[in-house]
Amino acid sequence: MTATRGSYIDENRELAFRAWRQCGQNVERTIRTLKEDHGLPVSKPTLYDWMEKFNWKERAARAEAEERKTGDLQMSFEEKMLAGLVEQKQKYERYFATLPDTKPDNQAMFAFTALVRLIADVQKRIADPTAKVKKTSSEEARGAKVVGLTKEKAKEIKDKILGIQ
Amino acid sequence: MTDAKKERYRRIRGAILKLLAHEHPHAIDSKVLHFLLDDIGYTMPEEEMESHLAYLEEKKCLRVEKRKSTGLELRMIVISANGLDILDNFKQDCGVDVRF
Repeated sequence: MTATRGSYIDENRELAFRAWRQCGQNVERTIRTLKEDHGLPVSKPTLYDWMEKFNWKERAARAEAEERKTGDLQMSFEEKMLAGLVEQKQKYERYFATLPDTKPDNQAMFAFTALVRLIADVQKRIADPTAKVKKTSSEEARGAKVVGLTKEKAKEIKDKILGIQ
Repeated sequence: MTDAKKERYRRIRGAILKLLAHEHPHAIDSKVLHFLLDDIGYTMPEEEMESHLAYLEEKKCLRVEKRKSTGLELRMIVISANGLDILDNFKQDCGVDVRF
């Protein structure tokens, strides 16, 4: 019984910690959010008590540093990948320049189009990692053809194409 | 090879075929394919990617179309009818139903 009660309080405290971070560490807003969004009434003294007892400020600083680090790593990986894709795009452009006007290479053209779309998606993701890449109306019309890259797109590939849950 | 590794290889090959099937009958550039696999969590070095493509090509599940010009080589991958049959579970029959 004690363990159950303990874990319930732990859960609520974790929820309060997350809400406190989401509310920019503002106590008033955290209390309001917890009550309105989660139906959890927490008094100001309790919240201050948790903050002090469990070193929330220190923990939040650590979490933020970790998130920044992860974000930086991802960014440098994406930038590296983008450079490779841009180089590949230039190869296609050089290849197309060698073709006579009367002899188009449709297969290469399709591959090139997908490559350009992917580059645009990666560039958008680098510019704004949280941005959703909006599909153009023609893409919507074609039945949401997917070429990577935002988290939403990756999830879509997993769900719709690969069938991974 | 461990069972986990075998299973991973099977899944990667399946993912390659599914991504290619999505573009069928068109091709995907090999670098784009590598990137997409990485993006959905199948990160692997170039050599491993080459190994999977070689395996699937030998099994006639895909075709590698090459374009060579001065100082450059492009490789595009297209799923074959055999590859589509595997995805559609038609491997035991020919994937054509004439009972109508």
